[in-house]
Amino acid sequence: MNTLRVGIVGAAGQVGSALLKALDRNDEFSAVGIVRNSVAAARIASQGMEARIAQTDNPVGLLEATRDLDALVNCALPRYQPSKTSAANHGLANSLAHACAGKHLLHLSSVAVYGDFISGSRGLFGHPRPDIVYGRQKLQMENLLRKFTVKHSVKCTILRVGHVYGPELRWSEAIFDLIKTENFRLPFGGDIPSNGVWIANLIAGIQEVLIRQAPQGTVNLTDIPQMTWRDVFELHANACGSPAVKPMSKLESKRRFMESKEKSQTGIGARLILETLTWLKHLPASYIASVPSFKAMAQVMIGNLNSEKLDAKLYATYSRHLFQGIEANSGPEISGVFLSEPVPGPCLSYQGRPPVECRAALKDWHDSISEPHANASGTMWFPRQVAN
Amino acid sequence: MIVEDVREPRGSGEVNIGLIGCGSVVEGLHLPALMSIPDVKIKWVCDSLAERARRVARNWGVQCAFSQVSDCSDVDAVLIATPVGARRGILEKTSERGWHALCEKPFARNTMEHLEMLEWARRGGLIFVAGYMRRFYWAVEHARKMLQANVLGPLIEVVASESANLESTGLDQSSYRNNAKTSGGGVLMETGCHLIDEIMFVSDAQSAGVRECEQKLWKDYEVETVASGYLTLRSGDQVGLQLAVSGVRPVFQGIAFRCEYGEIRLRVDPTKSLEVYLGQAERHHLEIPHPRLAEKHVLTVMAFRSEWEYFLEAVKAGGNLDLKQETGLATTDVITKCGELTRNCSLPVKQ
Repeated sequence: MNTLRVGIVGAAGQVGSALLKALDRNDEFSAVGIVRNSVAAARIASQGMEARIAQTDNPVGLLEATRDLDALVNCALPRYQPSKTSAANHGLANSLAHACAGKHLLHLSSVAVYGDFISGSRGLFGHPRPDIVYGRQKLQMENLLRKFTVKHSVKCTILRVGHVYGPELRWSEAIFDLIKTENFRLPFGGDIPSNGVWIANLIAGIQEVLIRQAPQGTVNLTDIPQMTWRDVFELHANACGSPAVKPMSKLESKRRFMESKEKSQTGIGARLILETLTWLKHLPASYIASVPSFKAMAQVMIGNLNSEKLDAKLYATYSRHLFQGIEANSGPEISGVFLSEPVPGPCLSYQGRPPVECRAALKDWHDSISEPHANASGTMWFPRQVAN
Repeated sequence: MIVEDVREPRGSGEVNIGLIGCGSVVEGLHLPALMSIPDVKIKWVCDSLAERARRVARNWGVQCAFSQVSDCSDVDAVLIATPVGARRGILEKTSERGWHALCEKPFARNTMEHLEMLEWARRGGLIFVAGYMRRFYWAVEHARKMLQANVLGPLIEVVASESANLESTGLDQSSYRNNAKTSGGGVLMETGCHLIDEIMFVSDAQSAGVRECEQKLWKDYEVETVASGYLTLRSGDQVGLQLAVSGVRPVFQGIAFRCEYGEIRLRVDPTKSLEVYLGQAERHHLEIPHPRLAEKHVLTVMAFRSEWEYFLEAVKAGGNLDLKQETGLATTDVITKCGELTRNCSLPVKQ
């Protein structure tokens, strides 16, 4: 049987390493990890997989390292200080396109390109408006790849990947933390699509694209059918033996949803003005509360004016702001992702598995990171030595 | 080893320091910490890559940049932030010039080198401190106090593990970490030294022995160490030690100090609460949260600042420090013993 030789760029990262392991176990593929340094290569090679070291922003170097491969999957995203990121994205996109001339390049982007809060509004798929740095970087990378792959005749598929959960993944770590956070409440009881994807389904989707030579273009990749946030949280709560997360009231959920929606439809310039105005509105109360000399002067002035009405009005304003501060701190901030609508645009069709199957793997991983005495199989590393 | 006749700073009040090595830890952590301490004057920066030294000097408003230590003007103290495999020669030169030194961790590659370097401090009346900044984390200090106060009864066993970050490092082939000899050879040296030092510091152990050790190696780079042994406490009692540092699999990120009446759990992440489990059969769980809600990076810079304040105070006051303890000799010793027990053991590798 002919195997497909696939190189995974960024194979030491969270998604890259899971993908490399899965492809390495699959007879239809022969997978190679492409990394930038010996440390990452050591991590891969010590697990019995092949690693190649290449300067991924050097077109000639990357081409040399991947010449014998049929396809590349890019899981890497350059992360530097802001002043260098744009140039690094440019270098990586150019090298990938150069190395994949006449081949298939599968690039993993993210639903973060739609913003923290995803609104299902029309036109968002074609014209995403990311509002977080990660989303902006992912979108920049998409645009650069579209430009360079045309130039080098590369067959390029861009997958906008949902929130990836599963063992050893940051999303799952964050969900475990939220489950254990006392005041966290799930908006709408979690009964909305999560736009998440179990790592095994992400891998299944990628395999589908590689084997079936899916057409060029951009598609979303989430669980099929979509899991609700309630399903995802219950999966994690089961794995860590915690009770289910409580629902947020409908009224509060609706209020936060409207707030997020409004925010997502407002441009960054307008948002800056609105947020500055809100800050200015709060300024006098916070000044009085925090600057003793200002407070003393204000009290002297009010005393001289001898106006009981003004006195009461100022005190009421001051108290209102104090309570607002307390109420604002009453629970953890709710990220827009927990209020989002389903991702806009087409989703990749693939043969996925029900994520409930990942419960055992999640539990094993949770046990290994939460208990200091056990390794993966739950035994002591060495027989206990009783000190003399 | 106590240095009694400590060389005092040249001027009064302000301490002049120089920074040797201009890598990411210096720009990301040491410089922000130093800039927030009064009475410190950074006279120069020095890096074998002259352009890097000039760039750091320009970005941080330092007057002079050098590429060789021999060209640097005299200062009271230096930071030596070069990799452990490229430190011995530099520390020898700075000691000859009579400069106190704060060295990045681990202090030395092995016990013999560590003792040799401490001898330079003794001869020159110098203070050497290793950059084990986790000692200044809030939770570490509190765990130490709880153990010292015997709140949960005598210590019985210590179990510690940490995942070393070999993924998403952002490093390319120019990083020193690509060279095992320069970086020290793997995750035990790079990450594990912090964990071992926390164990020694919190339990106030005087030394540690290693009975069994397994290391996974790829070429000459160690990706995982699992060891068991014992700690010798100040009282002379010995307690069990289990240790794992891994760059290839997820493990619990922290240390469990098991005592007769309960357990203290100290997490690697400084933002995490200190956990206390009371009782043996029916365990009650208490979480003592960090008093300051802050991001991990902020708490890390704060620990670096505390470490610098501690070191500079000692330099100014000429305090009597136990340099074996300050430089983490016991930690170096554990790393050395682990290496000796597993030498020539490596995993088969698919090339």
